[in-house]
Amino acid sequence: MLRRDKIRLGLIAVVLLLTFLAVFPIEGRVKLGLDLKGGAHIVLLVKGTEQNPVTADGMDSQMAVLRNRIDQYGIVEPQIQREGNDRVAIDLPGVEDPEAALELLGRTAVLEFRQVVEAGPSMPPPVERRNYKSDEDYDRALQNIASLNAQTILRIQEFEEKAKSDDSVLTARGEDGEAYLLGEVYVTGKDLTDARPSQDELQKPAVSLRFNSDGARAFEEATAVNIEKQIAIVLDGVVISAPVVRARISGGEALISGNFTFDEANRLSVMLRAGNLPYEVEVLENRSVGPTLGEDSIRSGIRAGLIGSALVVVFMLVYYGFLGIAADIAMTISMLMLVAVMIILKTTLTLPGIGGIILTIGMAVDGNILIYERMREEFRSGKTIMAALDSGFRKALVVILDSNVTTLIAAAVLFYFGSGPVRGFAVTLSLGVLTSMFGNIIVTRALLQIMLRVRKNIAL
Amino acid sequence: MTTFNVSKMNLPFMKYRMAAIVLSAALVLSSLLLLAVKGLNYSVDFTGGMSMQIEFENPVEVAAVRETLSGIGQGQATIQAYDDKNVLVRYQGSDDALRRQIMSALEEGHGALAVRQIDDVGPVVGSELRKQAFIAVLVSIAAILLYMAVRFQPRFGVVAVVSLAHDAMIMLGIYSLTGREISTSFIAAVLTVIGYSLNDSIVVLDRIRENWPQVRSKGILELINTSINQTLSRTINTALTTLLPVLAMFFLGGEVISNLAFAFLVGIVVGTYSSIYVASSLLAEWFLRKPLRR
Repeated sequence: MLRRDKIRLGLIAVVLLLTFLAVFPIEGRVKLGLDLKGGAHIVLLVKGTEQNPVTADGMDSQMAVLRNRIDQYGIVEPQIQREGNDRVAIDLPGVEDPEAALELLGRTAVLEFRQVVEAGPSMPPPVERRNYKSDEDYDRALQNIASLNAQTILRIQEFEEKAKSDDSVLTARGEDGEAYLLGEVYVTGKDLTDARPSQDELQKPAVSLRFNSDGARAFEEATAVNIEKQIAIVLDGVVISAPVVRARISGGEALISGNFTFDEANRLSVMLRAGNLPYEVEVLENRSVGPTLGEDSIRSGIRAGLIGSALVVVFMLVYYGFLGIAADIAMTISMLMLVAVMIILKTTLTLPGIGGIILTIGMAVDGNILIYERMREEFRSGKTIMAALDSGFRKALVVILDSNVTTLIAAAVLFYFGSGPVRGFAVTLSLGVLTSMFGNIIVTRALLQIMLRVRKNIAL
Repeated sequence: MTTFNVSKMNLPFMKYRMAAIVLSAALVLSSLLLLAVKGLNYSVDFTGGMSMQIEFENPVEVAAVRETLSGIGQGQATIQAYDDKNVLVRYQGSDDALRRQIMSALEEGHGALAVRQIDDVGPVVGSELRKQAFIAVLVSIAAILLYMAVRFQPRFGVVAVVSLAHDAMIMLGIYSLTGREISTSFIAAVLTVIGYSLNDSIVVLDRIRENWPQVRSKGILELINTSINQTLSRTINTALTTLLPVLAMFFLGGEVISNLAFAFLVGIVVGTYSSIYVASSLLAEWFLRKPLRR
């Protein structure tokens, strides 16, 4: 054996060893993209106002509050990244209910306890036909709602007039559209030390609050002056409940009961604990994938990949016979290497990335085909088999390099301009090109040197 | 070894070069026409809006789903069936209230359902993605042209890029014809096909360059013809080995991968044809009109 062959074989042995160490056992080693493992990718636009422009410090605290909320909500391995000056990209793996996630991230969560100066009529819950015995009852209920709505609209107009002339009051609406004229702010969310989901006396979901000493004092004073009157609990400008104060409340604890579900009560407590966002946000992009879809994609991707490689293996064996064995081994090694490199570099496998890998299977043997066709030509022109091997490789090498460089150019552009899944595709494609070049040039060469030495009288 | 050996063939490719140029021109023109008349079915990636994949517990009919959505004034929503239980619903606008309304209408009309995937893209992001895709295609073509100009004669670079543009146009035409969705993955597929097709063209052009010293004795047509024939078995074999896994992806890969595979499928077929015929025919015609000294 030549020294060169020994070096090649040694290199292959080392690479194979590293590959096997990296790849097996494969469970949990490949980092999966959100489109494969399920989860939500959300991009938020942070919106400042003239009084409250977006600043670098403000963005920092915005991010901190968002991170805090996500952590408290119990999401494992979230990724929160700032994009540009006023965007935040958030990856939430394993989130099954993107709507809940949006509720959690999208609300500013400014909580205020305010004086109720005047209130419009209270609204009944929405009317549904199935709750009424007869059509007449149902129609009466609908008429009742319509008249209440009309009254509320009048009250709102009336309140807005008042708010225009008096700066200390403002109009607000309740969750079911009730009209309120609100006055002084007694306590805000800044004075909270804790917020937990709990239940009210009717066992309905509620949020219990604990104030700090300032908050407790202010709350006690507020209840003292408002006995038998309403205090409005306002979240992000909407009155979520306006209970009537029965007695002075000391001790710094309060309970908010609105029309919550248990999930909503839980989310609200998380938001109140984490604090309010300095700025409002707008959802620019929301891409969520359920976990089952990802599993299905992985399963069908693997099946397609295995069947695809089997077809290629058979084709190479049928067409190139003995040479095909070397190509098949080289292809298998370069595919394993591709997985190994992805694991080592911790690149993310995405759904289009699986497509990229399967495509690479076909392109991986392209190098072998180029080499073999050249070898056949050289052999036919009268060279010995070893000479044909040598010049076949030498002449094919330039073409292999040229043609792979162009694929790499396309992949590099995709990586630079693409995002998420498409980036994953670009990465697997370019890594696949590189490992298959190793397979073509080094592995095939070494295998053929050995195989041809063993069987010298073979025809190509 | 007794195998089918294409390398011994000497097919008269160049004899039919004008026919090939006419065919290609016709295909590109009809693609342009399709694009102008029928346009493309852009996904929410580019238009902005909401796209949801919904899995129903019981089989549903697309027509019935459409009726339900028309009932709440969403008749213009696009509805597409993946299989008898999975449906893709796409509509403009992305406010939460509308989505809840749609979900509850569907649940009421067709029973239990689960949302498997949501793509909600705001108009700002949509237009950014559109711009990025456009720049990506331009930049990669420019980069490839530059590489070809350095590695080959400029003329080779030009014909290679013309044949790439040809491939990309025909891919767009077929997507317009079939009404398939153009998403960011499609752009990825187009760029990959561009890389692949170029790879093919380079193999042929490289052989032409290698045979170039015989241009005086053989004449350009025969030189190109020989070069194509010499590389023909490689061209066909590589197309086959790439097509095999792509076919597996197309039939077995599941919805998203299958969509990507369709683009590859079209691209590989068109790309293989164009690298045999388009680049070399153009090179021949160009040379016949204005010979190159070398």
